[in-house]
Amino acid sequence: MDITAELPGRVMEVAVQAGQTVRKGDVLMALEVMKTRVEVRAARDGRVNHVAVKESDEVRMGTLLVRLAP
Amino acid sequence: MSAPALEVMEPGFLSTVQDLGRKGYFAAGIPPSGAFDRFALRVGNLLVGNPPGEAGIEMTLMGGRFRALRAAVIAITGADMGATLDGAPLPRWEAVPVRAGSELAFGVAQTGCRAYLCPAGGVDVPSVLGSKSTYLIGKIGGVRGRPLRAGDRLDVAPGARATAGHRLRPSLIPSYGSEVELRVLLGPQDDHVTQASVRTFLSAPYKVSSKADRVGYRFEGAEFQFRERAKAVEAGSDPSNIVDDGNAIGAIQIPGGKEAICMGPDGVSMGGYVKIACLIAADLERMAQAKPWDIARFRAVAHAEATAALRDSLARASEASLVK
Repeated sequence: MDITAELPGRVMEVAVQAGQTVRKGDVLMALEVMKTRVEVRAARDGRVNHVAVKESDEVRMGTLLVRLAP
Repeated sequence: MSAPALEVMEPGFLSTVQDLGRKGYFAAGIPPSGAFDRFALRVGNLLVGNPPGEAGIEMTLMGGRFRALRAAVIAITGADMGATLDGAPLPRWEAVPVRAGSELAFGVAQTGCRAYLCPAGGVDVPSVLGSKSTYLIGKIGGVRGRPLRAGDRLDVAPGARATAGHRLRPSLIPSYGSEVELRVLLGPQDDHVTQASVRTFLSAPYKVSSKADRVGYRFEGAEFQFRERAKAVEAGSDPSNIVDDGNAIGAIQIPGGKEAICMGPDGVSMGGYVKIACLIAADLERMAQAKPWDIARFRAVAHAEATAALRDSLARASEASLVK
């Protein structure tokens, strides 16, 4: 499952690494959107397959952030 | 009598109550605030039979969900956030009836950045210093000086003159792209940078950064070169430092020469950085609809064009622009 950026912004903080298991609702990363911190959460339980961005990357709407495997 | 008419189920990314702002306090450091896109708020109000300066809800980037607590007439203007009423698409720039119990939902802005929800009668919150507008940093106006939250119940005054079906003339509906031209008056300190830098500023693309909000919009692009000049010791060490002076809403500062920051409706009243130019008042509504990643190009105009553009914007936001 691809977690993409809903809003355009800058990656403030990456909270997970590839290989890590996460529960639904866990914070995956934080984006700065219009000077506001927006947390990106896991939509379901899973394992982090791939983290596609790093801190201070600029992201657009729809940019892939994290790929979750079941 | 006002009565609760709208319940906030989800506030969206940033939703605030705004009218046309509080005038007369900027010298004391309190900015006007008010709708960032004044054209959209004015038209939204006129569509539902309100005076153009009534308070509505300004939603940013991603709108919220609202439940109508009683029957109402509303208009949605500005950015296209894919508004739906009980799941059915809702037209923008048109007065539409809403039944008690129905749900209004907004998503992510597809085009533009700020949408306005204007209920007939206007959102009724206490006036603070003559305005219902929310000023977030000062924590005044709107709903206790803060963004809307889930569970807020907003009072709406009776909208006696509301008639569903009024629309804005299609030719006057703004289209929001990912590139925007912003017209500016150069100065007051454009002579602090080289002529080459001024030319670059007026021709190169600038990207709206993720640090763009109601206080100021940051633009990333070509850096600015300063002319050699006698240093004012008291001004500071940054080549962009000047002895602090007053800002206008729309003033474009260039701290460090690294980026351009244009003051929005919640902008600060003073600054110690060179202001290369000032956005014309008529184009505040264009900047309001630019979102991070969009490209802006600045074009210098003369004062006469700036005032004509403002007159034109005000004329477009009038009863004569509506199809009834």
